[in-house]
Amino acid sequence: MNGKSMATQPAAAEAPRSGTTPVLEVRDISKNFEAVRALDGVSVAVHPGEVLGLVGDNGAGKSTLIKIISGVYQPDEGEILMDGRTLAMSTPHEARERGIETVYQHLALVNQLRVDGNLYLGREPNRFGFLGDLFQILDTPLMKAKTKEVMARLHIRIPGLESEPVHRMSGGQRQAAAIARAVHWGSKLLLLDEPTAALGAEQSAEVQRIIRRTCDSGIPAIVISHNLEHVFQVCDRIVVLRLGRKVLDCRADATSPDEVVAYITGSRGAVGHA
Amino acid sequence: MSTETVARPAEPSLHIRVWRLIERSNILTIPLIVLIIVMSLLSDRFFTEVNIYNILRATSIYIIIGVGQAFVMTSRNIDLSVGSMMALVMALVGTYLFNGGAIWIAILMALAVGLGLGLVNGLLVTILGVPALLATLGMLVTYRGLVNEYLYGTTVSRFPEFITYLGQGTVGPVPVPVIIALSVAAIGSLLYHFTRMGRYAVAIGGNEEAATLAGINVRLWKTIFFGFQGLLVGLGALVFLGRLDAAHPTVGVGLELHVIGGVVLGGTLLFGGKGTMWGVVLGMVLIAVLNNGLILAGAGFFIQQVFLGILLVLAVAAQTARHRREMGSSGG
Repeated sequence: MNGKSMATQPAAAEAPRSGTTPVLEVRDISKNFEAVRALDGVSVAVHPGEVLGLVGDNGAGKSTLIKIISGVYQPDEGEILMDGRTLAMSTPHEARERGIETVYQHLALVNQLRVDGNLYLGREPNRFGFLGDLFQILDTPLMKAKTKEVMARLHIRIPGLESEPVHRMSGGQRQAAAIARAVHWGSKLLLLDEPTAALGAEQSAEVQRIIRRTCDSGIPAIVISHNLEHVFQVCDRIVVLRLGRKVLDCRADATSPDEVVAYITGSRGAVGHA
Repeated sequence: MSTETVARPAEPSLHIRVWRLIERSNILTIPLIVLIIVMSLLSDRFFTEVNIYNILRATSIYIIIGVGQAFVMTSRNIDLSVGSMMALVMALVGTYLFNGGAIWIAILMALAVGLGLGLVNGLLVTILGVPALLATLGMLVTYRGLVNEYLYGTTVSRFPEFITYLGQGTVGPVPVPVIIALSVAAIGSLLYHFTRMGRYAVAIGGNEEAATLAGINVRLWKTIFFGFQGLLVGLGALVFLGRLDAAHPTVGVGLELHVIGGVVLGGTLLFGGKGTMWGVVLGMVLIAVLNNGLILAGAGFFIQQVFLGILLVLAVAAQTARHRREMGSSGG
């Protein structure tokens, strides 16, 4: 298939893996904030094992879309489907219960806690049976063991993992810990907001490897990023939003950074769409 | 299995490891030992059994109330009303006992009223959204006003033996209030390190947004910490009632500063996210040893106040410096 021909018809661009049921799909989503139309009839589908890159200029609607998928906002129009069934979420908690985990740009880690404390934050298991439940005694050995397991599965090695609070760790290590938490709990979909924005080259590459490894195990991810180089390195498919509308949706290997930039800035795609 | 390391120097050098060891032990340990040695050398009246127990007895109610304050402070709040709150509990329970009330009801009453007043503080902060500093400052004045209105300048005294036992009694050579205070510190330490209560105090104080995003009911837990503080104020009120064998309108004036000073000196962060219950004990003992030294040196109560005030400010200054350094060094 010719990528260029797809790119010229963004509104009609179907997901390349349309044979499988998307893990998550948003259909004709619109969202207004007072007079501002933040999202205008956007449809996106995420398939098993796929890394979807969501790009666009500031104010394009990326964050609004992510917040709708993570349950923070509710759409004014349109619907969300998980495994083909309609989904209504009114809080981030409900989204998490359905297996949608978000890694926020500011990571949302408690610096004073260790990685295991952060991994289980708000979902700590108790021990010592009835008494443990009464006094809410934390099962620290279990949390530590499970944390080691997740870290090993993602091939993340952090010195002092079991003894150091996360404020002693580097930006890359903290990002890895935040992703590990999302992977541990996210059974359906991961949302990553600017996962490499605060990192150096080496750490970015490592974080991208972690994302790739996660998605190869079947769980898809949506990655928001300003860094097109990173997007092309890790993503299977790229969706460009501009002024609240989807202007491009195609396989990463069927387009180029220059073309994506053209869609982001509006020098391509906008006329035919308006 | 190939494992990648997210870049970080592999082995910390020796002086870094020694520094971490010092950082992990309480910062007061060494100054306190030095102070005790100096005092012992300066005065032969300092290191006597009677004087040591006097010091510990004097710290008891500060430790009991300080453990509650440590939880509140770890969750990045503060309770300034503890002195007035204690006075109010003492006024109500003291009057009840003075009029021939039953001991066990008096004890339950002290704990229940303390818990209730603590919950009131908590709800002001979590439901009305008043910053803790102002909410509890308002309650400091309110509770004191209620004490004055209730007692109207009178003093109630002469309580049943069991109440005075709580404040003045001994088990062998050890004063009962010291046993109560150390038990409270031990329980506080267990709660802090091993239960959800301690974990969420740290989480809420360390990063409230992260705690909220993690699904923690932040308002509920903040209210619980204030309630716990109130419960311990109730216990402290019982012990103090027994120690004074009286309740009068000005009891506990300025107690909040002593409590907060000791808690901060002990290593609990005023900025939230980190607390230490044994640090509360050390902080209170340090203040008491200093006070005791000033008394032995002939200084009066006013000079003790001057020292306490300066000590509190210095303790906060030291924390601010350390806080800046730690937050500055964390990546990302």
